[in-house]
Amino acid sequence: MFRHHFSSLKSDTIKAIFLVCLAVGVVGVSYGSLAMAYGFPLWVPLSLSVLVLAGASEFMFIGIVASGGNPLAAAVAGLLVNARHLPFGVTVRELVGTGAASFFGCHIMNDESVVFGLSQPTAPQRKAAYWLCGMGVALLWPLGVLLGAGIGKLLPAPETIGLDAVFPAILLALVLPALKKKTTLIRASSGAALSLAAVPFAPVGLPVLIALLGLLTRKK
Amino acid sequence: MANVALIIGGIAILSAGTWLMRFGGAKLGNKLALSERSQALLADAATTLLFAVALAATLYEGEHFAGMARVLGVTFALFLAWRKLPLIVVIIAAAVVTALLRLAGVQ
Repeated sequence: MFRHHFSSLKSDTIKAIFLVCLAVGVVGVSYGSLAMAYGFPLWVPLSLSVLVLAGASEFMFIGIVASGGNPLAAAVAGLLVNARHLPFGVTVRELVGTGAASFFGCHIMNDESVVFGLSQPTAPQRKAAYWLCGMGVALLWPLGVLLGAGIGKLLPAPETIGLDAVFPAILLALVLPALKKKTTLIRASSGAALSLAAVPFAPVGLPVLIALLGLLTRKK
Repeated sequence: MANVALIIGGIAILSAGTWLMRFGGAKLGNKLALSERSQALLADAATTLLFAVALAATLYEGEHFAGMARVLGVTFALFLAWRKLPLIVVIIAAAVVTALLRLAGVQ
């Protein structure tokens, strides 16, 4: 059934999803390696990568705990980083599946699966892209952590091979067509401008939510 | 470092809370009978969030400027995307340009 769905995707889209998942895996390697360097046992980054499956909040969690912070406070900070998944959920509600499938379909919701899903032209393609990217990330993120915990020190840092540029680049490339609509462009630009201005002052996670204020700029 | 029980508690809260936000958002969307206008607004909400995440990830590392190498790499990739080049070209260009700039000493 899945094979049938995924075959509806353009081959460039499938290749792009594959590359993005691979990049996620490499960042997972550095995450696993960093967690080991902080002195965590393997089960901490591994269970986070499987159960939370939201990279930025996991980096934040282990960073706060490693620097002596309370893990419960670190969890709350991580939840703030992940709060954008609530509006994401509303938007991709038709892509996550129904019934029991939606329990897992929601779990694989992240920036990449949402953007690949929303950027497809037809409903079957939207669903296929969301699931392919989501499952790829769900698989490669923990695999990267495992690899990083083992041999992380032997591999180059993601920054050395420019991977830190891959994620913003793919997000921008995929939202670009939606910005052709003037209303969307004005809302998104003013939202992003507010958000960027808030980054140095507001706690991590909040600036992204501030972007939603941009929706107020145009009523229609 | 914190004790194991607290770490397990933190992981439980973070994973359960994150999943509930994902699931709750989707269920909430299904519950609401959405007019065409609010559907468009929601689509714009997702675009706005993704756009803000992308620009923040381009410009910032933590609370500080991420450096010109990443900014130029992403800008070049965006130019290619605008010229409708295949996504894999866009992805590879972003990584290669950024890596080469760093190799050349640009931070």
